[in-house]
Order: sequence, then C-alpha cells, then structure tokens
Amino acid sequence: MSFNKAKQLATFSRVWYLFDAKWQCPHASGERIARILRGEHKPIYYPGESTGDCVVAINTRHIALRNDAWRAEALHIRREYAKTRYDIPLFKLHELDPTKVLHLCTMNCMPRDSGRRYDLARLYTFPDDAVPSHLIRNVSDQIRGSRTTPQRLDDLTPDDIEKFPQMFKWPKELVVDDLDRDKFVRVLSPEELPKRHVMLGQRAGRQNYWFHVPTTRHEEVKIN
Amino acid sequence: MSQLFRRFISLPIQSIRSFHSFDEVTPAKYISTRLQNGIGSRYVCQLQRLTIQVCKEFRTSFGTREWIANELTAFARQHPYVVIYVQPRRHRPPNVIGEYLSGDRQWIPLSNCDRSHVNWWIHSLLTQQGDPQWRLLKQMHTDSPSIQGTWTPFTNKPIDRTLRIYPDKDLTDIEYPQMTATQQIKELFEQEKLNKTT
Amino acid sequence: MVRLLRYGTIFGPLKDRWRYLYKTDLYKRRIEAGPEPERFRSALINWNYDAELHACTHRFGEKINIESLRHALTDSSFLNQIVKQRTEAGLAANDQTTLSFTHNEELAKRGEQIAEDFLRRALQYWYPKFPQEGIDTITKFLLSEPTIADISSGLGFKTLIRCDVPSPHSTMLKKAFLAFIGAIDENNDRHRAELFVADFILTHLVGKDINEIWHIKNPMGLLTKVLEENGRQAPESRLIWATGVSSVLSTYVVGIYSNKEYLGKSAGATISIAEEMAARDALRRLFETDEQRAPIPFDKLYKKGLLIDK
Repeated sequence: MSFNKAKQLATFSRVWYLFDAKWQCPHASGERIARILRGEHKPIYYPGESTGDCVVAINTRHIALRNDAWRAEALHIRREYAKTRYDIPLFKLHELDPTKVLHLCTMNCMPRDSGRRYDLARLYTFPDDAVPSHLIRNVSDQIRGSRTTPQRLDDLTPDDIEKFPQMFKWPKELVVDDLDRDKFVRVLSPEELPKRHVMLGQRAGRQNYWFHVPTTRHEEVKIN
Repeated sequence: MSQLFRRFISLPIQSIRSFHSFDEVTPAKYISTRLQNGIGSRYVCQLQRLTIQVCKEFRTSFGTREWIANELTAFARQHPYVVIYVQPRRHRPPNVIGEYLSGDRQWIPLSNCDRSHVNWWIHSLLTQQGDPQWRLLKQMHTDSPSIQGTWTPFTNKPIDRTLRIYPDKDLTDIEYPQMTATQQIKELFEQEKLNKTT
Repeated sequence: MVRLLRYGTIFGPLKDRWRYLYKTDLYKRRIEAGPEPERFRSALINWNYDAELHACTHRFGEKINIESLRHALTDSSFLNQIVKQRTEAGLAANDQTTLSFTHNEELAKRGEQIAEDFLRRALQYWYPKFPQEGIDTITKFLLSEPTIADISSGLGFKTLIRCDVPSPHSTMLKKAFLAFIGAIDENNDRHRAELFVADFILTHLVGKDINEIWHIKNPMGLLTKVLEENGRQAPESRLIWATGVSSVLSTYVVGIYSNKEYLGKSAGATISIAEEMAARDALRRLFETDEQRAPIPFDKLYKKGLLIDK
C-alpha cells in the first residue's frame, strides 16, 4: 500500500455515527441525520459524489412529536386509482412500524432525486436500544440531539417535589392529590370496553382512514 | 425478400441515436509539460524541424513565398534550434509540417494564407509541445494539492470520542440548551432566598 | 451530412460490378502486402544531418564541436554495420585507421560516471538523513535503462542517433544520451555537464515520491534499528481511530510512538496494514523526506550550498 492510497482511504472513509432518538423531535433530528447521510458536513462534499457517512439511530419508538402531531398529522398514501387514497395518522403508523416516522422525516429532508435512496440505505434504525453487536461495533461517534431530555413528574422523588418552589398556594378545596394515578384511572376489562363502531357505506364517516381507529382503552372515573 | 429489396434500393437504415461520445474517443490527461520542461535552468523548444512546402508559381502560396523572402532568415537566426527545410513543389498547395522532439508531427495547409497568417501558424507550431489531440481533464493540476495535509474525517474531531462506549449519555442531548421555564423559576427562587438573607 | 438518395438507385455490388471487384482485389492485396517497413528518418528528402546536429547543440545551449557531437551520437552497431559492408565490398575489415570515426562507448561511460557522481552527491546533500541504501536505489532508478531511454527519446535523440535500426533500442538511446553528457564534459567543463544532469535527469523526480522508489521490506524492523542507533526507545503502535470495523469499508488509524513521543501515523483498511504504513510514515519523518519537505531546487543546487567536487 502506498502513501497516496492510505491518504485516499483516510479522506474518503465512512464514519459511523450513533443517534439516540429518545425524546427528540424527528423533524429536527431528520435534518441533522440527512446532512450526515449526504456528507454535507464534510469539506470534501460535492453533489455528484457519494461522500456520506453511516448512521445508526436507536430508540425511535420514543421520539417526541410537536404539539398535536401524533393525532393531527398523517401519512397520505395516494394510490393511482379513484377513491383509493387514504391517510394513516402518525400514531397509528408508529404502532405499525416504530421506525417509520424517523425514516420519513429524514427522507423529507433530502432532495427528491433518484440518489436519495442510496443515501437513505446508510441509515439503520432500531425501535429500542437493542442494536446488533456487529453494528454497534462500527460506531465511532455520536450525533447530538436537538432537544434536552425532559424530566417527567414520576421520575422525581417526593422530596424534589416538595423542595420545588411554589409561586402561590392553591385553595385547599381545589387541590387533589393527582400523583396517585390509580384513584382517577383504571384499566377496563374487555367486556366494559365500548363496542367497535362499524362503518357502513362506501365513505362512511367521510374520513379517509383505511382502518378503524379504536377509541381509547381508558375511561375517566369520577370520584364523588 | 425485404432485405434484398433494401439492397437494391437506396433506403438507408437510419439509426435513431448515435452513441458517439467525445469523452471516450479522445484520450485524456492532466495538463503537463514533456519531461518537466522548464523546471531546470533551461527551456527546450519542442519543435525540432520545420518543413515548408511551397510552389513558386501558383497564387495559392503567395503568402508563404512572401514569408520565405522576408522573414525566413530572421526566423532561422532567432531560433537556431529549429531545422528548417524549404521544399519547392511545382503546382501544389503550400503546407507547413512541424516535427517535435517527442516524435509527433503536425501538418498545416497554408493555401491562400497571407504573410501574417503564415507567420502566425509557424509561431503557433513553434510554441506548442507536440500533439494537441488531448482532452485536458482539468485546466490546472498539481502533484501536492495541500500544504497543511489533506482533510480526513478525523481531523479536528475531539479525541475523547475514541474512548467512549456508545450509546453515550453525555452525547445524547443538545450541546448548548436554552434555559427552560423550570430552571428560570428555580433561579429566581434562589435569588430571592439570597435577597432575604442579606 | 445530409445525403440525398433517390429511390430506385442501385448501389452496392450490383452497381458497377467491375469497380466492386477491382476495389475488393486491391483491398485484399494491401492486406497481403502487410505493414509498411520502418524507414530511417534520414531516408526522407528533407534531411540534413549537419544542420540537425547544429540545431541540437543550440537546443540545449551547449557549445559542442559538431565532430564530437557526431562521435557521441554514433552507436557501435552503426560501426559494425559499416565494417560489415566494407568486408562484403572486399575492403580490409580490421583497418580502423581508414574509418574516420569511432563509436560512443567510452564517452557514454564517462558521462555515466559524471551523472552517477553528481546524482549521488546532490541527493545526499538535499536529503542528508536519508540512508545510503536508499540514495543508491534512487540513483540506480534514475540511471536505469527505461528512465534514461524515456528522457533521451523525449529530447529528440531518437532520430539523431546513427545506428543500424530505424527506431533505436533503449540501450542505444541510453548510450547516446550519456555520451552527450560526456561530450559536454569534453568540450566545456564538468560543471556544465552536471548542470545538464540536474536539468534533465534529476527533474525526473518531480511528482514522484522517493520513499516509494526505495521500497522498504520490513519498515517496523528498520524503524526499531534507526531508533536504537539514535539511542531512543523501541517504537510502540497505538490504535487512534477505528470506524466501520465490521463493514467492508473499515478504517483504522494507527499512530507510532517512542517513549510517548509521536513519530507518525497512518490509516489503513486493516490494523496490520495501518501499522505498517504508520511505520513507513515515521521513517520518512525521521529521514526528513515527508510531504512537508521542500522540493529539490534543480537549478540552484550550487547556489544553495552544494559543494563543487573537484
């Protein structure tokens, strides 16, 4: 091997990155991942050349979408014939394939040309933090997320909650101990579940969902 | 039957597309000089010999005749490293043929060229370095493209990245996060505490 | 080009049958006759050997006597041919006195001696830490037959050499070129000949890496030896970066250290290759022949301080 070959290998080597998608916005992280998959973060970047790096994204099941997006946004699938288009809302899509949302968001950030799928083939996504060992061994760097991981209320200890500064005091009659979830929520048995709403007709409900969206499995319980 | 018919009658079979590519046909190289000409202390003129074929009578070689009469001796004196042969040929068009050190040969017809044109062509042969039938891959070339060393993905990468075990907790979040409302409240609370104590 | 052909026009073998047969026959005969034999350039009408030699002296700016240049460009094969022709004609074959010229063997030896001395001296001067073995290899490479033949044919000696074949072999090219250096030494001074060597042979190193011309078989062993001679500790190799370990495009970057002191590093597809290349890198850093090293100042070697060898 000559010196030039070693130089060439070093310059054009593909670095493997890890991305932890837990509590990260898939749109913002998709931008970062797409940039790395296309190699735009390198000074040797040139549009025709394939200079991109590889990315292993984990915890894609635990991504956090903005506002009401889980319910309000949908994957619009438009087949070529009449009356065959349908939407899959993102929460449903996420149930079907927990890696799909991050994939779609990354794909959305790439230019729409035929070379896009070759770059996207270098993205490996896993719903949880279980990654095959031969892939995790390749990794030599990590991409930072765009959000901080929030601390949930049930992660805190009661001491922390008590120490937290109170700006004003609620009247006593308004305060209920809402940390005790079991008081308010209970899991229903199958018999108690409301029956599936059967849609009739060709365009029942005038909605484009191709499947029946089941209603919530929980029910609010009134206390007193 | 139709094949035979086509033979007799001139119906050329037209090819719809011609797959001719200029890039593949012409040889390509980086711009360079033969034997690093000029890097040492001297420049070597690459034109070795020049043959001027000329007719004494025809009008087509009037400019060539004029050039020979007026400028040939001065040219030969100025460029003693070029061997010049003049070939008078009766009733044929004038040509100039340049032969180069590398063995290449260039032939240029000079019919109806006037004196200045002839001079231009001869000087163009003089200043070339041989066969111009090359496609340059680039207009510029260098053997040592970078002084500070070529970039690799590992230059300027923090070295602690080799020592970590992935996934790493420190590298998941945003590097410089904005202050959250919770943190702001906490800070205000601390400040108030301080104010009270003082 | 647009060809207008009328319908009903006959072409091909059925039109002008005699012409078709005639052309086919001509074509076959040309194929049978084979390629044209190579001819000497001097066989053409526009050839004046004295003028060519005169131009050759001016081309390199050397003041050489035409006779000695003619001597330098005469190959032994040409002499042999002349002698053979004479014997066939019934003349005395061994009578060298009647021949007014000799071949260039001795001049070539003289020129080779000058070139070798100068190249060795110049390389040693510019790369003082490069080992003797390497300098020998590079000098040998520069004076090897393909290199010198390439330079010689590039400088137009191809048509000027007097030999018995139309396109001279590389040995003839080499001899003629070295004899030209000898002729410069004979007519001018040695300094002038050395300048010629610097301009036309030493410049062959432009764009080439001298570390690759001298191929080290066991770089790690040599590195250990060199460090021992300098009184330093043995080299240790450390893995700096590794990425894509289980993929096809894996890259390892290995660095070499001696007593925690950085010597060199290199990338490679496997660890062993990377280590070997890192050792080579460390060696070229120690020899001061790495990429940061300034190129040889071909025209200013003496001005820069190369001592004139008397």
